[in-house]
Amino acid sequence: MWQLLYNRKVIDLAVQLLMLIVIVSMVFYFAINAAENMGAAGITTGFEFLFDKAGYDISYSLLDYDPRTDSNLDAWLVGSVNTVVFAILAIILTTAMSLLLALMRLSSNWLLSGLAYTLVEYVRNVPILIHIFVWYAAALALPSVKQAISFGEVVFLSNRGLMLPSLECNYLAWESVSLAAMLCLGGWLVRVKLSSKIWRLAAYFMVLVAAFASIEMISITGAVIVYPELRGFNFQGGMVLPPEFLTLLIAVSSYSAAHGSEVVRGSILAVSKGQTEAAQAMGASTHLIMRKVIIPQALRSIIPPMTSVYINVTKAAALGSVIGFMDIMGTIGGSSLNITGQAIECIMIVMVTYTVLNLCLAFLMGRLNRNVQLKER
Amino acid sequence: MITQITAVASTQAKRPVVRKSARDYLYIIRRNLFNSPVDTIVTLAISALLITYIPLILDWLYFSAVFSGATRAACNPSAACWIPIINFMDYYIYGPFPIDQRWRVDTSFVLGLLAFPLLFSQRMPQKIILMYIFLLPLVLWALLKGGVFLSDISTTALGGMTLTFFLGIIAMCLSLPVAIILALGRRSRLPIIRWVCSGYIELVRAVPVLTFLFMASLMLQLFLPGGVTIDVLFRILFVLVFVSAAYKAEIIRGAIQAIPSGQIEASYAMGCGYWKTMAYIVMPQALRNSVPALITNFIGLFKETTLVMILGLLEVMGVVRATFENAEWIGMHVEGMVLVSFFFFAICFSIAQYGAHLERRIKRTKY
Repeated sequence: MWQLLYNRKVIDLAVQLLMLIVIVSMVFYFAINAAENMGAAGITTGFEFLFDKAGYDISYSLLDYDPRTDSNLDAWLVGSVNTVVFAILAIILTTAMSLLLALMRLSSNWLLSGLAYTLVEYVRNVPILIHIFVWYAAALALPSVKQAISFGEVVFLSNRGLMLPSLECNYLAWESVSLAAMLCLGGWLVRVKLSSKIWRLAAYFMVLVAAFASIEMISITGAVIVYPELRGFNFQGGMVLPPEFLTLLIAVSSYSAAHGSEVVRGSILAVSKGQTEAAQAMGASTHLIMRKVIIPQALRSIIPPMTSVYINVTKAAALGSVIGFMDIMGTIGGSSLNITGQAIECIMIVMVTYTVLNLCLAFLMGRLNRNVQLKER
Repeated sequence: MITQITAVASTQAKRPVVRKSARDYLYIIRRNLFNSPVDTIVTLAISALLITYIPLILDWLYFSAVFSGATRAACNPSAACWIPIINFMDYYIYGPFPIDQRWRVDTSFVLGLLAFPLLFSQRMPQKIILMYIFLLPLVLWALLKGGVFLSDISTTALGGMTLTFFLGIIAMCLSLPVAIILALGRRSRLPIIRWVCSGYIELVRAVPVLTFLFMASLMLQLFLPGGVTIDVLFRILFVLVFVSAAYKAEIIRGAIQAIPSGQIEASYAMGCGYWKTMAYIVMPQALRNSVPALITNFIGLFKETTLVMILGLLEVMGVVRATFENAEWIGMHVEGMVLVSFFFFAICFSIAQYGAHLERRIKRTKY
């Protein structure tokens, strides 16, 4: 009997059981309290509120959204799409800017590397909230619509945001384009898994068909490029990126690029010097050495830390709530929560959405990482 | 071993010193600034940029700026106006802290600053360092919040740089032990403990801190029995500690994994149990090696404390913005933002430099 106390397996099991009991009882305790408190406050529970009318406006939405008819679920969708679009644009900008800053910092030109050093160190060591406030003040100080800064009469910048030309076409065409894009992504993801050549060819063929079909769709339905035009007090036509979105995009991507550039610089410096010297001995130009020798090897150590920079970019979309850009945190975790009072459900949805988004991002980056890793045979 | 190293050091010291002539300097300048036509163009363009803008910026910041006066009328509209900043400086540092109690803030600033050379020093015995880590938050809490020996200060009286330091340093110290437990839990051989710890770490790292802060300010009341309220400061500290512990746990886990498994096996072979091995073999090395990354993490945490402004606590950015809602100085946010960004830059940059110095030292001491 006493021997049981010294048996490792028994101790292990007991410790784990104890932990499980503690966690489960804590969860129960909190759940009972929550049920009591919500009952007292007259808050309903459950996820039915998702189908009720949202009743609040979303300042910037890429999907059609009408607060009078659309539900909280639609608001969540709008918020998620805002987050995803923001994340994609910000990740592209971050990557480009980190590469640029890292190369500037590594330049043999003292002035150029000094400038990059100052910029990176300044931006890195100041909280992102300050960046957002400063860029927002700058965006609101832009000239009014009447005196908008014009870039070749196609793109306009004013305190109402950035006006871009847009591609206007039938709903059906958009559907097929997005379907084709999804097929392409799917084909790219499964192409390694497909072992037989015929299946792989079939996958490529399907992607091709989808691409052709969508191009056909666009030409049949008649797509037109609409340029923004000043009419009355505002621009008509085209696409508008409002100042809140622009501010957040620039603030977040410059802040992350300052962090990212250190990652890139460290990885480039970590590529052994013998590689560069060998390439120089072969007569390769600096540009060619960078492109063919250094960058492919540096990528191996860039991608894992860059993934966490990208995840931070995605999470930073939540900071848009300070200037009125609504992402998941602003829609379902903000206004919906305040109106319905169903805090637990709303925060749960927010957490699940962010976790899923970031897991997808981590999965894609993991894929990319496996592709660039050294293949040892 | 040591004699060899000193021998190497002395040969390095005896390297003949070559005086550089003017021609050498000219060559260095040419090589680093005018190496190729493109280089020359870049150099000229950047110099032109700097020559046009730096005088303008300096003029705005200092030469045309107004430093003394009483009202807004004394300001120069085309340059910075530092009058409100100078007048309110005490408020920015101490917040609404009672004036006769300010010595408590001063003492805690000194204790907090003392932490850095002490915490990350390698000559200090680790026992003293760990004691300091555990005691510092308690002492800071007793000094700033009071309640035990000193009079109690309400949460609304904490603000400005005091609150920023308070949150940053207490969260840093308290999250370290939590992070060590999480890191060990994630590497545990017991599956349930491993799953719980990994799940917690991954969830916290995937969700913005803002969500947790909102949770603490809106939702926590729901989970407590009716009538129980927890001070908002305590709730925010709780969130900062448990969120940053998840990030620190990953840093420490990396450092633990970097320790050769032979050491752990050797320790087991000597008859040490799990806890002894961890406490005397693994953790001393892992913690020492993770110091640079932990310092970077601390900088991130320190910058993240600005987020509590969204919840209505007046940390340094909150107090600065509050002064410019004042009718007299309304709309002078630029000067305020310059001050706050300089404040954060000065602190974070110097801590980062210190971290880089430690990293170099750790690399040097590895044989």
